[in-house]
Formats: sequence, structure tokens, C-alpha cells
Amino acid sequence: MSSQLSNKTDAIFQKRYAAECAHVNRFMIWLMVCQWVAGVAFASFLTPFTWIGEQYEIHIHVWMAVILGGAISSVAILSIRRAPNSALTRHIVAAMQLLWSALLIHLMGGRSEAHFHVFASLAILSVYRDWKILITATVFVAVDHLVRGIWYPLSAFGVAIESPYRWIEHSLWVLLEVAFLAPGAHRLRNEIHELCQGQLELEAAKETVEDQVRRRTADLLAANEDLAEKTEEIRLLSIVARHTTNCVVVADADLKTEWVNDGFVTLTGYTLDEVYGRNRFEFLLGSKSDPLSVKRLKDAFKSTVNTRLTIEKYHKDGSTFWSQLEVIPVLGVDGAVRHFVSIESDITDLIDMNQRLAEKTLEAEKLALVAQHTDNAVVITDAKGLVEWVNPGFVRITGLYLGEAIGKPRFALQHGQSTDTEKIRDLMVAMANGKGFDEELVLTRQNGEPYWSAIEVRPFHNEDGEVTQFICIESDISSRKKAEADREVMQQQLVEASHGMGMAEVATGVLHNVGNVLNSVNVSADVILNQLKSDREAKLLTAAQLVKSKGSELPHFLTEDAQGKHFCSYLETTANTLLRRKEDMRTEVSDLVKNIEHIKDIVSMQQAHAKKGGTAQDFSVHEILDDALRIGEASLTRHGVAVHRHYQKRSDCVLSTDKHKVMQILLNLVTNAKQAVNAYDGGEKYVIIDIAASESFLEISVEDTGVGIEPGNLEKLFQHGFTTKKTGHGFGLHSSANAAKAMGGKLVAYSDGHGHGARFVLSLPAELAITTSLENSTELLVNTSC
Amino acid sequence: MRNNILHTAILLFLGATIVVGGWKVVDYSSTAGAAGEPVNGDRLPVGLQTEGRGLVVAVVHPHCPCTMATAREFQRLACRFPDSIDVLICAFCPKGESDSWIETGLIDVFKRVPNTRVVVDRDGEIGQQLGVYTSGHLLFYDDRGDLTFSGGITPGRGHEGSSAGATDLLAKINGGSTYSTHPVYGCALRSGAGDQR
Repeated sequence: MSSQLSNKTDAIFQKRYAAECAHVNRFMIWLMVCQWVAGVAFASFLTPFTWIGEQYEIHIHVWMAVILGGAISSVAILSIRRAPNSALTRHIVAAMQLLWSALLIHLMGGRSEAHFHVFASLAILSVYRDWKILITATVFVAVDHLVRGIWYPLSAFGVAIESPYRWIEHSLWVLLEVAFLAPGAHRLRNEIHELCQGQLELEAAKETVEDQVRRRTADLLAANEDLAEKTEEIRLLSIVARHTTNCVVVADADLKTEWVNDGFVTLTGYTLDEVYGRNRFEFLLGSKSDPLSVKRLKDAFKSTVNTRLTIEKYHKDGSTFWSQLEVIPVLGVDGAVRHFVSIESDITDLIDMNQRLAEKTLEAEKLALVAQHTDNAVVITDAKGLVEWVNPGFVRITGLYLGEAIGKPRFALQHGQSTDTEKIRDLMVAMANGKGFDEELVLTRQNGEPYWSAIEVRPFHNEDGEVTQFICIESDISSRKKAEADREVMQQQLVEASHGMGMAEVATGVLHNVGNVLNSVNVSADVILNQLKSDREAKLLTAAQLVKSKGSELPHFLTEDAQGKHFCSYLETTANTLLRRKEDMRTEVSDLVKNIEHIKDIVSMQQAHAKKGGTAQDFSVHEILDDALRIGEASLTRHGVAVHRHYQKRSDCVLSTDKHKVMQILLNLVTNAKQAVNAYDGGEKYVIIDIAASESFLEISVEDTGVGIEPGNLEKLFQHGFTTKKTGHGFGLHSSANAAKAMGGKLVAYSDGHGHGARFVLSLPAELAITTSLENSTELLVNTSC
Repeated sequence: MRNNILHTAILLFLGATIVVGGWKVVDYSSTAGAAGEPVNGDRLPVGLQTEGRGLVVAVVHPHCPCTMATAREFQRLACRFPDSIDVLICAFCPKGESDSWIETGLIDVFKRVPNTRVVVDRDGEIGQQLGVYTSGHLLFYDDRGDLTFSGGITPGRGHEGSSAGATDLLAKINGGSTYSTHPVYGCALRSGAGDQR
């Protein structure tokens, strides 16, 4: 038997013996427990109490059964638990079992029957099939009797004086039993060992056959699995090759095309039939294909290693695409190339994207240059508004360095006395809410100098829509603010100048009207003077003298004399003439008085409008329109321009606003209308004045039949300095528009072009009207005057 | 490791318990009770003597378990007694107890011996007169009334088996005349007598 088989046999035997020991150990544990219980029961039954006269107490045997018996059983049980397979445990169990024999013999009063326990114990211990523990038991009995025979012979042999060799007798009896039990145990042990060996040999033989079958089966299964895997792999590769969007082309060693996939057909437009058998270089390449790349491609089809390259190729329809391809030579077992497989993909989009990316990168670099070199301050903050980056412009404007600003809230910096802290707070709240804003506010430079900053803040969002950063572009607008302030002052000055000019215009109108009236006054005066220069009164005096001279002859004269016959008619004529002259003079004087009253009214009106503007006054719309027309009436009349008032009859209302500005605007419009009509010879000359009201605005329109306005000039009409008149300054409409805007209204011009007249509409907010009688009425007050 | 140490410690403790307990048990079994002198010397007290017959007097405590070994040994010896031997069992009975207190298995064993008479030794007075302090103490008075044997017939306390006392008693019954004494193993009949329990 080989040593390997021997080792295996020993291993199996040990395993089996361990199982046997486990079984016996369980039995021994029960035995130890039962012996302990029995010991306590015997002691309690046989020797429950010990006495001194009438007094008694528990017998020491009971205590010993409990304590000593418990200790004996515990040693055995504990040893079994601790090392169940140890030989030492078995020896300890043997010793404890013999101790139990001694204790039971003692507890049972040394009855000879109790000694059978010793021999029963030896038989029980032989169940372990370990002859050595029987020797231990024998030695234990011998030593026990030897020791007690020397020191307590009574306890061992029941006699005080005994032969020193009596322990040998006892031991020999034990040995006699052991002499039979030990070989039996040994033989049983060997039989088990032989059984194990036989089992092992049987298993080995069985395993040999089964192992061969198993190996063959495993080989077959593995081969089948490999085959299945390869088949599946080929199937999957076939699917990939057929359905991939990449082009797959298989050519033989002579570069004759053998197979192409659907991706090739889709990409190039060629079918398999069209390319089958053709050389790989007969199609797809063209003049745009880089010669160097073509050469590399040809080299790839001569190589035995994989080659990757990018080349511009042609579709079947002649358009080009960028191809990234890999040429894979498939080698045979002899190392020679059998096939070439080329896998290529259309990377035109990728190329384009790279170009766009390059352009974007360039653009980003330019933007970076802009951010770096712009005079504006550029600040990038995080989502919380903490500064992450500033450009040199920021440093120039604020005087703060990057290190002083980094990590701090942007708008917690640069506060000064002039800074609107409430607005700053609003800005920070807006940023906290992820909102951008445009704002102008006063900040303070590092040196304490305040300056106006125009701030534009925009949030950056990530793909989830969350704000990740803010970019703040800030510019120093102190110069612009100063210019605006200067312009404001100039504007005020211009307004005042306009006021002055308006007043001059008014004065001119007034003087013109007054001049006209004075002409009438002069005419009246001339008429009266001529009347007064008439000699009719002298002729009447001569007639009176003639009557006086005739005296008594007067009747004769009047009746007979030829001259006298006409004398009465002469007097009648003279009297009628005088009466007519008197009537004429009265008329003239009446006109004179009226003209003088007119002059007085004009002067009063001029005084009324000469007040400085800027304060709100309550006035009637109709009245101010009438005043404006009255001021321009003389001029309009002189140029033969008719004025049509198309007011609604009850469209008057009282406005509360700057009366001067309204008058200035209306006077400008009337004057311009007059000039436009006068400058055009194309037809009837008139101006239409209209008032209309809506929910929001009160609209006063001045329409004329003048030269009209070119469409291109309509937008520029209200610009400062723009004019279409030879003698104009380009100021009147500009100031009028500003005045309308200042009142919250607007001034708009409409015209269909040259020769079609123009219409200017002054719109004033309806809320300026404090009373109104504007109603829809079909009855129009049409008052045409010339 | 800790478990090994703990197991070893427990095993050592248990081993020590076994050694000490074993020694205690052996010592207990091997320690003889106290032996006294009869009040009347080596003569049988008046009232107990039987004319012309030998008398074995056994003073026992009816409830002493150790005396059962004496009773069983005595049974074995009694088989070899001649018919001329009477046996008197003096069964200790406390003063306050009735006579039935002595009716135990031990007394029954003694009663099985032929020619046995049991008397109640009220409060141990008889034993006191005989100078007996330990249960299981046997006295043998020959047919002349002379005390020739005094002692126990067991090899140890509560242990049956051959002993020198048993052998000597049999010898005295069968004609031996030399007075001899032997250790007695059993419970004390009264306190102050060595307090052997």
C-alpha cells in the first residue's frame, strides 16, 4: 500500500474514529450525569443523616455525593467538551470513571456488590476501542489501592493491617479483565482501520472510473460550450458587421473586394454588386483625397499590422466625406495575409465640430482678450455673489486689487456716502434670487472718490437651470452723467430761451395785430378827417347867407327864380349829405373804439401769456386755442389762410398744467401750419383745428393743406436743429415735443408726403383734465374764419 | 487561549476538590468513634445477664446509617454463632420520644438474628452504664458473664467487609477468653463523647 493510500486511510479512520468518539463521548456524558444523580440518590437514601444522640444533620456522604461526585463528573464532561478527540480526554474519562467506582463503593458502604462497578466501568471504557485507557484504568486502580493500602488500609481493604501485596491482587483482577478487553478493543480498532482502508480502495476504484467519465464529460461540455460561444460570437460579430453604421469592407490579399456591409452601402452609396471584385483603390478616392494619405492607405494594404488613418473620400454621388479607417490584415497560420478588413467611420461631423470648436476657442480667446483689456470692469462671481475673478479694468476703475475683492460679495464693496445702500440691498437680493439686472449707481473708488457706475449683471445657468455664476460688467459713466447734467442745464436754458422766443413770437403776433388794427384806426381817422375836411357846412352857410339876403323876396326867389327853384332841393341834398357823413363818422368812430378795444385785448392777452412757465394753471382748452389763433389771426388773414375749427360743440374742458407750454406748442403748430400752407401753391389754403378725447389722452390736432413732409423727414422732424424751412432753426418742434413730453404727453406728426399737407397731434394725458364736458356729439361747431 | 487557561484552571480546581473530598471521605470513614469503660467493669450489668448463656450486646442508634454495615456484618457472623448465644440490642431512644422511634430498618436487620432481644435504651442510660459512646459498639459477655470483647465489627465507618473486630468477636464467642477491644465506627450516642457524627 502506498504511503499516500496509508495517509488517506489514516485520515478516514481518524475521521470515523472521531465520529465514534463523539458518540461514546455523548454516552459518557450521560453516564457521568446519571452516576452523579445516582450517587446523590444512594447517599440520600442510605445515609441521609448522621446523629449524635437525638441530634442529627446531613450526612457527609450526601455532601460528598454532591460535591465530590459533581467534581468527578465535571472533570470528565469538561475534558470531553474541551478536547473531544484527544487521547488525554479518554484517559481522564477512564480515571474519573474509576473514581466513580470508588465513590459509589464508598457511598454504598463498601458492599461487595458495589465492586462490580469497577468491572462494569472497564467494560464501558472498552467501548472507546482504545486499549490504552484500560491500562490507565488498571494503573489507576493499582495506584489507588497502593496509596490507600499504605496510608488508609482500612479504606482500601477493610482491615487495619493488610499484606502489602494485596493491592496487587486487586489490580490483577482488574488486569485480568483488561487482558481480555484490551486486545478486543485493539482488534476492533484495527478492523475499523481495515474497513476504512477497504472503503478507500473501493472509493478509489469507483472514483477512477467516475473521474474518467467525469473528465470526458467535462471535456465534451467544455468543447460544446466553446463551440456555442464561438458560434454566438460569430453570430454577434455578424450582426455587428452587418448592422453597424461603420463601413466594413473585406478584401482578399490582392485587394479585391469580397464583401461590404450595409453601413458601407449607406455611407458610400455603392452596393456590394458594384464593388465586388474591384480593387479597393478603384473607388471612393478622388482628387480631394490627400495624396500623402492615399500613399499611407496603400502602405496599410501592404502591411501585416493594423493601420489607422484619416482621409477625405468620395461618395458615389461625388460628394466628399471624412473617413477614419483602420486596416486590419488577417493573417493565415503561415503568417501570410489572407484578407484585409477595413473598418471606417464617417467623421465629417467630428471634423466640422472640431473646426467649430476651434472657432469657438478662438472666439473665446478673443472674448478673453476683450475682458482682459476692456476699460470696463468685468467681475465673475459665484452663485452667491462672491467675487471669483476680476479683470484689469476692474482694478483700474475701482482701485481694488484682485486679492482684495476675491471671496467677498461684489456689492458689499465700494460703499461711500453717496452710495444708495437701499439700491445695493435690492441688487444683492436680486442676485440671491438668481436674477440679472441693469443699474446705475454711485460707488466709491479705493481712494474715496465717488463715481457713477453702470452695472450689468447676468446670471449663468447650468444644464439643470441652476445659477452657477454671475458676470458683472461695469463701466465708469461719471463723464456721461456729468454731460447729462450739463445737458439738463442747457435744456433748461433752452426752455427758457424758447420761452423767450415764444414770447417774442407772441409779441410779434401782438404787434402785427396791433399794427393791423392801427391801420384800421388810421383809416377811420383818415375817413373822419376827410369828412371833417368837407365844405358842405360852408355851402350850407352860403345858402343861409343867400336866404338872409333875399329877405322878402325869398318866396319869389324860391318860386320864380330859376336858381331859387333848385334851392330847396339843394338844401335837402346838403342835409342828406351831412346826415350821411355823420352816420359814416359815427361808424368810423365806432370802429375806432372797437379797434382800440381790440388793441387792449391783444395787449392783455400778451400780458397773460408773458408769465413765466413751469407752474400749473387751470385753463380752458377752447380759450387757449382761440387765443393762439387770435394771436396768429392777423398773419393768417393776411396770407388768406382759412381756419376751420372742428371742435365738438361741448368738447371744452379745463386743464391743469403748464399753460405756457401748451400755448407755446399750439402757437408753433399754428405758425408752422400757416407757413406750410403759404409755401404751397397747390390749392385751397386752410387749417383745421380739431379736439378729440379718448380714455387716456386729450388730442388737439392742427392739420394743414400745405407742402407736407417727406416720409424720410418725419422721424427727424423733432430732432434738435432739423428744419425744412429756409429761415428755420430746427428748434420750434424740438422744444414743442420736449414740452409735450415734460407734461406727460407727446407730439406726433403725420404726413403722406409732399403736397399732401401735414397733421400734428398734441396728446395730453387725460388725467390733466380736472373738468371735462367732452361728450360724443354729432353736432359740430364749425367756425370758419379768415 | 483565554478559554484554555480558564478550562485548565477549572480542571485544576475540580482536581483539587476531588483530592480534598476523597481525602475527607477516607478520613471520615477511617476515624473510629470514642470508646469508654463500663461502669461495672467487665461484668454484665444486673438485669441483663442470662444464666449460662453468652450474650452479645449491641448498642446502636436506630437511625445511624453507618451502623447498617455493623448490622449486616453481624448478620453474617450470627450464622456462625452457637445456639447458646443471646443477642441484646440496646436501641437508643431520646427521652422525649416514644418507643416506636426505634422501629427502623436497622433494628429490623438485627431482629432477624436468632435469639435477639431488643430493648429501648431510654436516653442512652444502658449504653452509659456499659461505657459505650458510639453506635455499633458490640460487647460480648461469655457464659460466665465476663466481658471478653468490646468494639466494632466493621473495617470502617459504614463499610462492610472483613475486619479484625468481626474475626475476634467470632473467636470470643467460640471460646476465646482474652479480653480485647476494637475500634468502633458509627454515630455518637450522645454529645461529649467525641462528638463523632
